Amino acid sequence: MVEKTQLKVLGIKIETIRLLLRVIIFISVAGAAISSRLFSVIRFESIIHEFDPWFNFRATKYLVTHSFYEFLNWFDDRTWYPLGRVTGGTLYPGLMVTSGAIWHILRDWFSLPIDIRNICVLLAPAFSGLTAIATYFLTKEMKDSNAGLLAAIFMGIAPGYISRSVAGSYDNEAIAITLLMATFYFWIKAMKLGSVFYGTLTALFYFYMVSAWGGYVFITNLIPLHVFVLILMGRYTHRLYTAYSTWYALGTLASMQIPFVGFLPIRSNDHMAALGVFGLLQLVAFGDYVKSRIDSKQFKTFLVVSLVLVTSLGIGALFALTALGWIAPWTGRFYSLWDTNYAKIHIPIIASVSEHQPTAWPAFFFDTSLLIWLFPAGIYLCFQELRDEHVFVIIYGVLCSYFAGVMVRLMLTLTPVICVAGAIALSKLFDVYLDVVDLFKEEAEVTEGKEKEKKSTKQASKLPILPLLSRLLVMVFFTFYLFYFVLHCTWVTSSAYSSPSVVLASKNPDGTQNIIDDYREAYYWLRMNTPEDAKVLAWWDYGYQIGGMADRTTLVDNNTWNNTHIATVGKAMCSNEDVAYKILRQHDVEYVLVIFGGLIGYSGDDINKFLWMVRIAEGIWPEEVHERDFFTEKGEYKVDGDATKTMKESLLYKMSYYRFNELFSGRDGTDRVRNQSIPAANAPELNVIEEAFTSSNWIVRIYKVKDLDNVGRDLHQATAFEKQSDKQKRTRVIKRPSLELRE
Amino acid sequence: MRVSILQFFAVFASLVSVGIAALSNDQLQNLVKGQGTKKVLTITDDNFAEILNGPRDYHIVVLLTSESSQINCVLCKEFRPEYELLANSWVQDHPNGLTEKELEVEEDFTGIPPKNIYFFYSEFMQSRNFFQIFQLNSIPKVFHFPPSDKAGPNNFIKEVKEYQFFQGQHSELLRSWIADQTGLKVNLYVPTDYYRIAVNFIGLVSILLLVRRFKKQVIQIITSRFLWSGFSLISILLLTTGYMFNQIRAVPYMRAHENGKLEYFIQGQQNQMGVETQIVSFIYGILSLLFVVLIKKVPEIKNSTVLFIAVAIVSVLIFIFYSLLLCVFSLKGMGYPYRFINFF
Repeated sequence: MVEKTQLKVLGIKIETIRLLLRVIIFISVAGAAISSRLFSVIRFESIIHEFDPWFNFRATKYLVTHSFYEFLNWFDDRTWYPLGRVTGGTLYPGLMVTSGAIWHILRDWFSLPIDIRNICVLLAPAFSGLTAIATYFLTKEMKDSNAGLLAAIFMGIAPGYISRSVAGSYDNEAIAITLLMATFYFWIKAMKLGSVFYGTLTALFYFYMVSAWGGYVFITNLIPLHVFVLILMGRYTHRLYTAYSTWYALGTLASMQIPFVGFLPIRSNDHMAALGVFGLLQLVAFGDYVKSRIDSKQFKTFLVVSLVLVTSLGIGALFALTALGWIAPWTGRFYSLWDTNYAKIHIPIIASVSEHQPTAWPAFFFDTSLLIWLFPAGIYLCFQELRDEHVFVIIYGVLCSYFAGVMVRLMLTLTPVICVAGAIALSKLFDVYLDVVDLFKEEAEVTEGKEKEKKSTKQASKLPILPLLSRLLVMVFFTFYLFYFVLHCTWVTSSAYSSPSVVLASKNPDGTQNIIDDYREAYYWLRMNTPEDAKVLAWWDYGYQIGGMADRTTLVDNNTWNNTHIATVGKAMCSNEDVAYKILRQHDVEYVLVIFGGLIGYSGDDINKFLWMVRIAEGIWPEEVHERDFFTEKGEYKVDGDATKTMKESLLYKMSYYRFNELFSGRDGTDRVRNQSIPAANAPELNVIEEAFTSSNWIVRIYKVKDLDNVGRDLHQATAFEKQSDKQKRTRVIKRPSLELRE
Repeated sequence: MRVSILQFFAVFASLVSVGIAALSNDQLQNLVKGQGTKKVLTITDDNFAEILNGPRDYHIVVLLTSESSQINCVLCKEFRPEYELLANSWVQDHPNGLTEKELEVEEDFTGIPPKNIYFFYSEFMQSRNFFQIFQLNSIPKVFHFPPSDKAGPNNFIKEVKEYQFFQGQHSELLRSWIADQTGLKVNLYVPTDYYRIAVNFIGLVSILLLVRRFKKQVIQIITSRFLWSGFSLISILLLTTGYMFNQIRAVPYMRAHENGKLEYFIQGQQNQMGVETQIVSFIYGILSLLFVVLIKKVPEIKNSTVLFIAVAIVSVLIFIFYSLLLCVFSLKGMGYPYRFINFF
């Protein structure tokens, strides 16, 4: 674009056409991003997925039915019974406020009364379109708008991001990645221009991010690290100073307005890096000022003296504050990120969550396909140019590779930088090989140059076939790869990331789909057949779902803030009936819910999670619960005839396999998950609880806790007596507790 | 070895003077005091009957183990220092046994009256008979013998309690086990390792001196863009191919079948072996390198025929390696449907 003459095509300015094309491309990218996230809605229905989204959905419903202040002061007495949860002060309200605002705007301004559930379901796909645009702007700062457009489409359809933002996955990450990209874009812009305006925008989006996701700490550390590296590289400028000081001061103050964050930014060590770099920047700025005023020899003395002074003061202050007990910089948490075994040994509840497991290599390729090997090439290109913003991409890339390797859920934060780096690399390739204009132009220049060899002038008259052909070759290959990339992304999204996990799907032998809807069946039963204030005991995984779908009080849920309480539930599950009954009565439990997949082969059931319950319970009651007791002599985890006595007597085992053999007409049953046979002899018998409901595929089984006996027998005697009289009468085989239908 | 033999003689000598009856608390106390820096007493075939046959007025904890190279027990070697640390910590807190004050506590919450604890160590090579009594088929074992007033021989076999080995910090686990058994809390004192501090200090100083001496070269290295980019790229290649997974899970490098066939890839998206990281990072690296060559080096070729050939070669190579990557990925199962060329 050296010549300034306005080119025109069909009488329209080329810039106008370019703008038009760009807008069309944006709309297409957003369309692709949104539509590829709709698989689950089309296949199943508009439904909230998994576990955490159910809590967010419930909180959002609370927000739109109550005022904003009531929401912030919300004390939820329907979870963590009998403790309750200060929900308003312990959640990140950004997500709920966003969908609440959309709901209000649509209803009040446009008179479109849309169900809040549909807004919640479709929020993540809608924001993915915005993420694509934010990624465009970020990448544009790194290279040019061509790379930006590529990054936008990569970001739109990369499975690594889709995994957390399909329709129905109404989680904090759904909007957080958008905000992450926007914050980074404004930071790069602010740092480049040294503008207070962009610095303020960075702070504003940072605030939004803080309100939406605990992962904001990533920004809190990445930006200071970027500044720190730039200072080390001797790239301090006034622009950097302006941008960082603006962002830090405003962003920190703003983030402290979120109740859950509160005073963390000046207390917790996660935020200390940002504070430290802020201090360092002031010193560097002062040094820079002094340097400009005095000659270099004096400056050297000044530098040495002040360095010694600052270091000794800093160390002194650190020791003094630690001694006074104001700060605790070397606590266990500090090491947990670096020593990856720390959490595993000391905090079983962290180790039990599959999201906290390390990532094997297939996951990286699965989530990014072609981009994963373009990523190093893109980083290499960044090193070639190494402007200030490229340093940012490099730091982000290396650091996030580490985090994503350690914890599988952090693939989510790695995906954007892979898309950016991949787009930089690929657009460089297109720059070199797609632009055929210079081939002809070169020819023209060569013909004009008189001193050039005459050979080339002769060749010039011919069409440059070979160069054209080589360009074509590269283009064919890479177009093919990109085409394949789209196929890969669609396949991954459709096969792996589009299951609501509330509703399961299986294939019949003839290929038709079979929907397994046990969860909702059971939750609906709870909702309709139990008293409104009934307390339901279940493992914490299902707490949010029971709260959201069945609207019943739970003892523990997915917000795992109280380890002891979870261990109590674990203990009830892994103890024998008498111990368990005591716990159940103490906690007013009326119903116990277990997930059992042995009949249809659903592997995510409670028996498979059982060892974690045992471990967590053992952490609190090491004298009463022993993990070893659940393994056979040979150290195997068995549920068949070889199962240990403790295993067979545990409440969970009994609840899972109660009357299981009746399905096999009294013969040994087969557990399809563990491929073990359940002996019909001494089938589990229940004394203190009775079966209340079992869903059609046996996935959810609900038991009612028996009340104390009317005539003062213990429950074993009572059950035995009842059984005897049943036998004599031979009237009812199936006995269900009499329950009244709730009005 | 020499130390333990000496220890043995010390024990033996004192035994001869005492006779056959079980040792009293004071005698054991003197033995512990007679020890050097390591406060663990030794049990062998010659003295176990005297020590363990009751009545006893104290707790005895014995580690049955072997450091012999014939047996080659990894856990034994791993466990012994932690055991000794625990014993030393106990003696450091109670150089003269339990104090009056501690003894006064009749029964605390555990319901076990407080009695002193003595730590013993038994090496298989010197106490085969002793090991035979317990019919052990695996070591290490930690046994606890509670106080007893029964005088009969070999009564201790019925009184023994065994410690279960678990994953984790041995000293902590053992400590809580001892607390369960004896009702006494052992405070751990990790001794300051002056040797290591000195080594670290000398290392630091020498590095600083070296930096000062080769200031120019050091600065050159630190500011070298080549080194930094190499470091970043290699770490990215390793980290995105499951290096951390290998570290955390301690997976095997590769697996050999009985028929001698080596297995390089294991099924499953959430699983991998050590060699997979190397293979896959190599493929990624080659692909990235070829890509960079394609956009940086190849366009510099002036001659159009050579250019075409170079472009063709690089493109085809990328294609081949990418196909290879897809094939390798399909090996991991999951029914991945896409492939360019089928290698295997």
